[in-house]
Amino acid sequence: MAADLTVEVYSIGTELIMGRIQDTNAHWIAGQVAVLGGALRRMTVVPDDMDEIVASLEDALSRRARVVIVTGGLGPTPDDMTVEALARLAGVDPVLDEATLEDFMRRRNLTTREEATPPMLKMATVPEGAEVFHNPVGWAPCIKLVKDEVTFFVLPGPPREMEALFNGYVAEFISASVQTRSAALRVIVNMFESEVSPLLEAVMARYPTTYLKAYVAMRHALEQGLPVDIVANGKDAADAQHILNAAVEYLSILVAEQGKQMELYDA
Amino acid sequence: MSPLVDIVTIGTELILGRVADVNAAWLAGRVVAVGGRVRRIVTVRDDPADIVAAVSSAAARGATHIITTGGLGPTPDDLTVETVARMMGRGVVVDEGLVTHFRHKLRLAEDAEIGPAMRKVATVPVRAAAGPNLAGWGHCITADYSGITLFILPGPPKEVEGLFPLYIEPVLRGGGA
Repeated sequence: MAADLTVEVYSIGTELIMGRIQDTNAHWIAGQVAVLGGALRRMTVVPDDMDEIVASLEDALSRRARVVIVTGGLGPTPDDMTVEALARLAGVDPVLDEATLEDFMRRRNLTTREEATPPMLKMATVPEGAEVFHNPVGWAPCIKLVKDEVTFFVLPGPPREMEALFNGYVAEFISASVQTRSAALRVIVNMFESEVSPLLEAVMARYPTTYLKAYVAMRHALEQGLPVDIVANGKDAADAQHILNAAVEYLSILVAEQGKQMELYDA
Repeated sequence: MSPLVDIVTIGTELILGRVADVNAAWLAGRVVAVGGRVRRIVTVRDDPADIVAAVSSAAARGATHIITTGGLGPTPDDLTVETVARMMGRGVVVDEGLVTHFRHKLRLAEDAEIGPAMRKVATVPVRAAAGPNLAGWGHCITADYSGITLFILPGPPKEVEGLFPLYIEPVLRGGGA
């Protein structure tokens, strides 16, 4: 079996590290990476601080992550410094990407370079040697850069743009780089955590590529039952679904043996 | 000197994208509100090597305080306490004060009626203090790690919100450890 495609996600923004805004990008990306078969290992939030961004990305290099997905800090204002940080990390200069600038000018009906505004120039600037992918729903493009065999993808922070660019470029890269896939289901049982825990262990022992977890914190009242996640990894999507089905069936048998009920979780 | 705080949230369910972490942003907002600065927020799996890497690198970068959430429960994948204790070169002990607290909450007559799962929950690193959430089930473990104050919190947000003002906020407001 090939080595795991290890992935790290970085969210850049002082508003995130100060707790002013709840970062939703990392969570969304984590779910996508899992389904695509990637092995997410770490999520990191850092402020808009050049030294912190560069130092934290160097840590991902030293951990030899295969893919690093960075969101945020691609806008036109001075606190947007992700491109410069990535360039510094890679030891290259930030350069104007002509194709991106031409695209911006077309969209603004500009005919001469002199008309291009400083924000347009900044958002068309990328680390030298990076691949640039057009943003269909916004301005800042998706940037792909390889450094020391680690592939960095940089995506804009607004969730709608991030999701469009992830689906357009990053998802394909991950799924082409790894064969394995995962599948997941949430069920609900009318049991205490201490009662269901041995059953979850038994399922994980029988199906070693599964992960089962009961969420005590999501049970607001006893009569609501206890939500349980079942996540299965397989050698492809069909295999993952097959293992998931088998694990769910086995859990349902174990729950029934205890005289308890299990049903699909309806959020 | 204002506290330099790193936050480490721990949970395989977070890394798999099955549950959104709301603790880090909430804690960050509170840390800032009491005059601290948050430098990095890191999320890792319930994996000893990853937990040690995240906590020890926060320490190496000069944090004055480190807050972790998650991995304090009764099940085998709850590894935070044992892992952090080992990182600090310490063993673990059952905190009898927590056992008594659980006994009162469960309305049991004797501490001996507390089962192995709850005794695991009451386990803390040697030379650490454990303070219960009077309104909930969780507790905050406070330990000195080579001059850095380590706060170990459970994962459920209600517990985090109940424990922060009791055990973390007074320390951060005090400026030191």
